[in-house]
Amino acid sequence: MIVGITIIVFLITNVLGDPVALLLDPLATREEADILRKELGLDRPFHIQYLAFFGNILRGDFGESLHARVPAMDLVLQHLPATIELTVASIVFMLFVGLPVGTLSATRPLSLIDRAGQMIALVGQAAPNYWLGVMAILVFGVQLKMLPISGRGGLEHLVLPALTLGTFGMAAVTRLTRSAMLDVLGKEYVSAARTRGFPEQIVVLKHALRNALIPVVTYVGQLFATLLGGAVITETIFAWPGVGRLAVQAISSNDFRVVQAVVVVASVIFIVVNLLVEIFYSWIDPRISHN
Amino acid sequence: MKRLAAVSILIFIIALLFLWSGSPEPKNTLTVAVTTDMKGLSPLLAFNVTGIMMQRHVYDSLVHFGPDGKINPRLAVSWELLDDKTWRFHLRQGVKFHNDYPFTATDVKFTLEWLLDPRNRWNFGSYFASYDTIEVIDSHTIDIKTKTPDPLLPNVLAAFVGVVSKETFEENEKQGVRHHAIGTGPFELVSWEPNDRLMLTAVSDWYLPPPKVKTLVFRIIPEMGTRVAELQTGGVDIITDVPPFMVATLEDDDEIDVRSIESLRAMHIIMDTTNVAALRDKRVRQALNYAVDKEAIVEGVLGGMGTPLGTHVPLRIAEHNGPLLEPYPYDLEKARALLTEADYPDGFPLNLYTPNGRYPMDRQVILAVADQLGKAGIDTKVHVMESGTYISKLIGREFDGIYLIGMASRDWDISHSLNELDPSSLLSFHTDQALWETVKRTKATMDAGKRSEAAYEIRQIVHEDAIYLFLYNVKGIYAVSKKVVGFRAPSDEMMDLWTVSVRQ
Repeated sequence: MIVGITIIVFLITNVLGDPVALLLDPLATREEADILRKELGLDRPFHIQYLAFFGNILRGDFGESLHARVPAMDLVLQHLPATIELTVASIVFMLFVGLPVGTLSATRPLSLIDRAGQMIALVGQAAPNYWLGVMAILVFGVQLKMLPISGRGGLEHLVLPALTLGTFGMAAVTRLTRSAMLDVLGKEYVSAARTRGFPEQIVVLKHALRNALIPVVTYVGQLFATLLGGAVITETIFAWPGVGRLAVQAISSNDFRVVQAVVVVASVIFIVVNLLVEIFYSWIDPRISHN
Repeated sequence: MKRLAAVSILIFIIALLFLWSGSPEPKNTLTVAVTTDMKGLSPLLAFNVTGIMMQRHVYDSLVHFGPDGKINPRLAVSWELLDDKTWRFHLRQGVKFHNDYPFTATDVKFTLEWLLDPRNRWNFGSYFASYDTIEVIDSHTIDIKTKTPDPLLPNVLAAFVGVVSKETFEENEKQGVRHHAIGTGPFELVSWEPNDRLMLTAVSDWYLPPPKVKTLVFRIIPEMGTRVAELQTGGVDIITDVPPFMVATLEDDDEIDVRSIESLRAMHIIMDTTNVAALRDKRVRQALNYAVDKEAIVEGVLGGMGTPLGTHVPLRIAEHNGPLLEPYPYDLEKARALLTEADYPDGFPLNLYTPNGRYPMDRQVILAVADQLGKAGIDTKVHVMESGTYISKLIGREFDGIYLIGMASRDWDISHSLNELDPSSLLSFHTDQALWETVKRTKATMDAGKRSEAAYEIRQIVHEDAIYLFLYNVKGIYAVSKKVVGFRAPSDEMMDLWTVSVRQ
């Protein structure tokens, strides 16, 4: 799998364009450009470049950023905490809102609460991030002056970007929880629990919700892994110093080594998180076993 | 279920603890929002203009540009030309780096030699092509010898070179130069969070009048709407790179002033005579210049934030080199007549290339140009692309047509515009060897008066031959909170924030 990832990453970053063009002053001469290309090893045949790249990756060496002149991996690691912070906060928001709203909706189908919940889900999934972000800034930052508008700092700085980033997922979690709960609440073991005289709360939370969690966990796990690769739009709107912005800057300045490091790190995170989700399944539902 | 609840609450609490790291900004703070971050703390890694602007608050240069491009003393108190190829700089006595190491000629020599070493791949290396040797005469005197006469040496030092401490550098070399931030400037480093903020504190015993604010914060806010919102709510005091279409809105705000100034950037369109046969005819190039209504573009697209130009030389630099040349007037009849004369009565197909978002309103400008060329009978096709792709394809010579470019002369001199005429430059798509020979002679002329006369002649040729499709000079636009006192919008994007104060 790693070989596959590295080949794709290598090919993609090679079609980004000539990094030399953006490293030199535009009025540099062609001779200067050739010297630089040679120094960066870009004059070597394609397959030799790939083999060198792959060999270095195995040693954890992605090379030096062309612009910042520090190891590309250092830059990624420097920007990763901000991205993790934002991702965790938005996932927490998704779950803390999506799970209760979805559960309430399912237990009282077609009630006012259910309709309100479905409306939130619909709007939340339909509203694009860039619009939500700007609206959040205008309302909570400019008009109400309740929250800081941009940048990274204390917890209050995290609220608007996390809500913006988490809204889509929150809506999806609400919908998934609702439909999974509706499905589970009709199952025999739930009726059985009820007839055995358990209070409704216990039936819903212990017997039904736990079983309804599987699709939610799958979804949130995937989303978590994706968001850890950086959320470009949200990070840009809120000037959040995360991996997404690093990647965009690296792409627009053709700093291919940083792009390679970001993509490989994001891929590895994706694989690891998916693995953890699988393990989590069997914890939620012991019937799922991989033996 | 309880377990699940307990785990989620635990995660939430851990997240809270993990996140709680905010610290309020101290009083008497000036906060400036810029669009991009520097690439490293050391001026030895200066890569982008914003980076240089931020670094020069920590690092001093030998000489310093005044607001009109005049060169003033800084770490050097005086300088003289010993002969055509030797510059002598007398350095200021008693200056200390922020870590109390004394500043001497050795530091200057070290800095320059580091920048000159091709292995260090310094981005502005091509400005130093003429350098030969750097010699320390005594602890506070240094000679710079050049291979050819270089009248621009002080300009380049002022524009690009922040002096670092040799001793500190060598002590910290293992950590890499990126982490190295000891200069002799008006502010010293408190913290740098890449892509978020740079926090600096005033040096109270700076050798010039110390900064008026205690703390200076640069915040990196790429999104224009967010920068404006921060300014309106008092989150920041100054914002840069205001797009022309935001000016009216900001001017309506009672708490905000908009300041604009002619920048050192001239927008023009490269006409590729290597790939497009029609453009080899001077009359066709002139026709294109007549066919574009610069006034209308500046008013309609840029909201008046530009000035039409008659050459590719920025306005404030052209002013120092003889009279200004009038822009080609908008004259569709003349354009058609010239095209007919050149045997293109029905026009010809022409590709127009532009980056999107590299220069203010670039895409919209090119669309307007295409429309106007269309009226002269030229069959235009516009190609818009992302900025990085655009530059690398342009330099990779993958286009055939005409290409929008904006050149900024950071050294306050015409030489940058002259270098555009170098047939071996990456951006040369038109070769006029005779003109280039004249340019080379001009560049090496040490006498300022003669040099400026020769530069005027070159400008006349460029204008007459219509080597480019000349457009306009860009205005730099800043928006400033009314609490800010003493801010002057700079032509060269280099804000001098040590002279600025904030009313509490």
